[in-house]
Parts: sequence; structure tokens; C-alpha cells
Amino acid sequence: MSKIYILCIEDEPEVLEAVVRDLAPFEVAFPIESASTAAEARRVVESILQQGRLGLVLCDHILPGEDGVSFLVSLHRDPRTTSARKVLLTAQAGLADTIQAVNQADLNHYIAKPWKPAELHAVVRQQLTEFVLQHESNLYPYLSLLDGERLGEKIRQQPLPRTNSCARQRSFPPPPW
Amino acid sequence: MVTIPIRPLEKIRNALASMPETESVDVPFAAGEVLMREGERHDHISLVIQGEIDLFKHNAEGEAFAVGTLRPGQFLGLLLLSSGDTSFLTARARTAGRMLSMPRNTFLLLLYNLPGFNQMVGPLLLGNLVSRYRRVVELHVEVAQLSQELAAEKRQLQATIQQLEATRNRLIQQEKMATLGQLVAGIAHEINNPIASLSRAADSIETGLQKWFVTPPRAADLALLRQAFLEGLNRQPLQTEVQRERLAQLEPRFPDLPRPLLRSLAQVEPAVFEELAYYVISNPTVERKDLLRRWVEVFEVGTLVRTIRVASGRIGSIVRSLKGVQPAGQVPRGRGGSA
Repeated sequence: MSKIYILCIEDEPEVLEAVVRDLAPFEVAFPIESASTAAEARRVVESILQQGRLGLVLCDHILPGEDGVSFLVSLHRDPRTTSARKVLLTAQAGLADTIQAVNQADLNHYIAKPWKPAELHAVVRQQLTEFVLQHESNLYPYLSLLDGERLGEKIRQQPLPRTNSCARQRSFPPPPW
Repeated sequence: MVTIPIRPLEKIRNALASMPETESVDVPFAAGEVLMREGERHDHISLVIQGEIDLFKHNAEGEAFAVGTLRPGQFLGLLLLSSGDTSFLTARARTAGRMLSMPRNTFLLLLYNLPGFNQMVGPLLLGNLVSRYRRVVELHVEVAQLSQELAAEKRQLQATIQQLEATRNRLIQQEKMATLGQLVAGIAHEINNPIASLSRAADSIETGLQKWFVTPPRAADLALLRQAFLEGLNRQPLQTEVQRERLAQLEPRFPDLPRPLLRSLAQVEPAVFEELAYYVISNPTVERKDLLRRWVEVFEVGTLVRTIRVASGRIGSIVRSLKGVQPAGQVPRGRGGSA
């Protein structure tokens, strides 16, 4: 099972630290990487893809150089990262930019700054839950961290694994009654 | 317009030509030929027999305006008949033709003294004058109509200008509002970032301090923890690439430490960190490990206080910039303006 990464992109160092600090509880299962520009984020994505998968991107819109929406669109067009959940965390994104993010980057959520930690946690939890539901077969490691109810439901729908103990159970003699 | 049938006109011409005392001569003219020039002397009066002659009047700028056309039976030089002044108009032949021309003084002499001449020429003169007077009246009517149309067009033009002015003002207002909207959005962006930093730093400091109330630090550790606070307070944020590099170095060295703790340690000055690491690794007791955890917590509080300073300084800069763009002539409050 390869690691599922969270990538945060924000050009203000203090804001970036705050986001990463707020997401620390998720890091027991989802390593967090960060970048301050879209160009740096691309290099980080390449590095992530050598070790695992990109599960969630939290991106500011106003960045030096290429803007956040444009970066999310390029991630969506890359088959290796198209499945990553995409969240815009921004203090300003005009209507046109937001429409572009929804239509062309398949944006999953929009969070306005300043954010509330509970809201950020809920959004990240929901997005990572969606990601593991779609791309992970073994959901047990995420039960306590993510949406346990939805993961549990999916687990109940999965066929029971064929283990030796099951085989032995079937070979038991019928009860005497 | 009075027109004289060709036959009687020819008869008159023949009769006048046959009278030697009239000193009349036939003068043929070609199309485009100038027969009389405004402002110059013209001592003859001529009866147009064939062809057409255009009359022009020049304004002060020398621009020519067509004022009428002479046709057969009409006189050229009629306005000069009594005064003998310089020519009032310019005459240019529109077509080829001919006219019967005689000296102005002879014409007058015969007109007053020769009854036969008067009988022939009198009706023609009268017809000419009536024709010209009618033309003058028609021109007056045309001018009056044109003046009315001009006044109406002027009113319409004024109304259009007013509408344009109103539309322009509306557009300017809309443009102002759009610019204001962009400005407000820009300010929102500039302010929301430091506000986010402030808000999150305040929450994190509260969480950090709450732990201290549950488990207060030992008095012996306070000096070390104060150092952690100052380290955090004076730390400059690392570039993300440098931070990533340090984190990558720390992970294999301390595989048991959680990533958030390692990330905080990656922020610590390398020399200070190594000293700290040696202190714990050299004798990894539970107390020392706990002290390391506390050290990092206090270091984080220091970085959060620094964040608050940076963020509030940024908001202060924005407010100062906004004060600098207030409209010219507006008196700032507290400097003579009404509060």
C-alpha cells in the first residue's frame, strides 16, 4: 500500500505553517508536503509520485507566478494526479477563476480565509474519505481517522477475505443436532 | 420666374441691334467663361439672348456661393444700372450662348429719353425685377424654414448631448464601482491572510498554554524552556524547499518521532538542534524525552508570537497605505475636520 500524500501550496509562510499545523492530526496516515509556488509544487508532486500517490491538494489561488487555479487545472489534466481531491483555500478568487476551477479542475471544495479549524478538518476528512473509498481496498487503517461510518459501510459491502481459518471453519463437521 | 418667349426676345434683339444709337453689340460666350467679376468695374448692361449664366457671391473668406441663374430675357449688370458701383456679383457662363451688350450710360440715356426704347425694354426690366424680387422672397422663406429646421436640430442635438452626458456619468459611476469592487477584493485578500495567521496563532497558543496548566514545567527546566521561546521568537521562517530538505535528513535519524514534531524540529537552528539532540540521545530518560517535547512546544509558542507580530505589522501597513490614498482635499480626522 503506497502512501497517500497531502500537498499544501501557499506563498505566505505564516499561513502555510498554520495550515500544516491544523492538518497535523491527519499526518499519522497522510504525510503532508508543502510548497510556496506552483513551480515548486510541481517538483514536489514528481517527488511524491516516486514514493506514493497524491490524495489531496490544498491550494491558495493568488500565488507568485502561476496562480492556484491554473495549477489545479494542470494537475487534473495529468492522468497521474487527476484523481487527487482538490480544495481551494484562498482569500480571494473571482467568480471567473472559481468557475474555471470547478469546470476544468474538477474542484471539490472551496474554503475562504480566514478558515475555522473545525471546517478545515471536516473538509479534509470528507475529501480523504472520498479518495480512500475510491482508490483503497484496505480501509481499516483509516477507520478512526476518517469518516468511520462511510468506510464501515463500504467494508460491510466487501466480500469476506478467503483466509485459511474460513476454510477450516467450513470443514468443521456439522453439529450433532 | 418671368420668362420671355424666344420669338419676341429675338424681335427685341433685332430691333435694338438695328438702332445705331444703342451702340449694342452681340457678345457670344463660351461655357465657363467669366463675364463679370465681383468687385471690378462693369460698364455694360447685357440682355441674355441664348444660354445660361450663373451668378455667385463671395463671402469674407473668399468662398463662392451660387445665388441665381440668368436665362434668356434677363439682364446681366442690372444691379449696377443706377449706381455704377463695382460689380456686386460674379457671372460665369454655365453654357455657351450669346447676349446683346450696350454701354450702361447709353442704356440709361435711351431709357429716359427714347419712348420706343422704353416700350421695348421697360417690360423686360420690370419682368427681371419682379423675377428677382420673387427669388428674394423665396430665399427668405427657405432661410426661415432652414432656420426652423436648424433650431429643431439644435434642440435635438442638445438633448442628445444631455443623454450622452448622462450615459457618460453613469458609465463613470459604474467604472468607479467596479474599480472600488476590485480594490475591496484586493484589500480583502491582503487582510484575510494576516487575519488567518493571527486567528490560527491565537488558537494554537491557547492550546499550548492549556497543557502547561495541566502539567506545569519543573522550575529547573525553565531556563531551557525560556531559551526555546526566544529561539522561536527570533526564528525566520524557512523556505519550503530548505524545510523539506531538513525534514528528509531528520526522518531517518529519528524514525520513531512523529512527522509534525520532526517538522517543528526542522525549523530549529541546526546548532541548537544538535545540542538538544545530544542532550536527549546521550541519556534518553523519560524526563529528557518529555523535556524535548516541551522544548518544541515552547519553541512553537515563540514562533506563534512572532507570527502575531508579523501579521499585525502587515495589517498596520495596509491601513497606513489606505490612509495614503484618501481623496485629495479631504481633511483627515483629528486635524481640523469634524469628528
